[in-house]
Amino acid sequence: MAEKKVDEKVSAKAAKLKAFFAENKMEMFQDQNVNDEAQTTIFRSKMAVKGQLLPFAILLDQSVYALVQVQLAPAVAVGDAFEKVSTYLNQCNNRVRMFKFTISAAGDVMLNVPMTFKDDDFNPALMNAILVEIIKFLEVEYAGFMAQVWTSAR
Amino acid sequence: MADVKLNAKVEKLDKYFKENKLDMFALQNVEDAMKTGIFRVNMELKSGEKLPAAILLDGSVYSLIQVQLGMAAVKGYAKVAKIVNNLNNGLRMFKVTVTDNGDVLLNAPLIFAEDKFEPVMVHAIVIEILKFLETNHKVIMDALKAADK
Repeated sequence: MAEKKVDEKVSAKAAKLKAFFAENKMEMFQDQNVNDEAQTTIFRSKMAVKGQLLPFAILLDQSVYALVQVQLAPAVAVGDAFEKVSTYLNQCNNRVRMFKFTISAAGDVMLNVPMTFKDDDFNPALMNAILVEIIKFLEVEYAGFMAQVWTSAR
Repeated sequence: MADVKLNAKVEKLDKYFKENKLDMFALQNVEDAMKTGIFRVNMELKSGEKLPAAILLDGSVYSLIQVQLGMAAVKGYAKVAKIVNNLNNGLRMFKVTVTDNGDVLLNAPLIFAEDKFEPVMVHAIVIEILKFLETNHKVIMDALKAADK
């Protein structure tokens, strides 16, 4: 019985987000149910910023946590470049309070926005508002940010 | 309008702390452009270590809980970069940063829709942070010190 309830909770969150996307004719998302213990669902799409198409994902699971993750630059912080790029990202992490910049195992530079939702209080409209904020931020900052990343990566 | 909204957030949390007799949180109003209100507290670990912490509330939908894990604890970021990045990849809700002064900070950003600020949630996250640090503070700081030699 408990297992079924957990499945329903995740389905409810993902279903809520899917319904929100449908109501608002946001057809650019592809969703994928990962059949893991955490009952993860991933919504994938791309955001257009300064002529670039940046892949991003919304990760929902059975916890109260949700994560928006944007790939800012693939495979750029590898080998010797890691330390310098990481140093620059640390500065960004100090300066930009609400976003978390990380380097993935593959050397991708990622922008992360973690969110917490109380049980049964998942808010798709807020999530959409955060996506808009991310795009606004990147419209202003992306060019300068990438210039710094490329300089650091040399 | 922004001022009224900010005061509402700070007032709401202040009221919550008073109602729940959580008098360890001290409020400071900052006269900056964002009209930030800061609640300060010392997080006391079972080891006796006291970590200065702050809850920062401004006029936006964002709130921030910040805990100082160590003061001037890191001399050069490059040597600890891998550890910090691993922490940031592994910790869903938290962000570890090192300031220009070498202070190590744990950051927990929170987002609330307008007029839906939840003091209970803020308090719950503070408790989660405390639990996390009871287990992990020494391990993290020891790892950073070892890498920073």
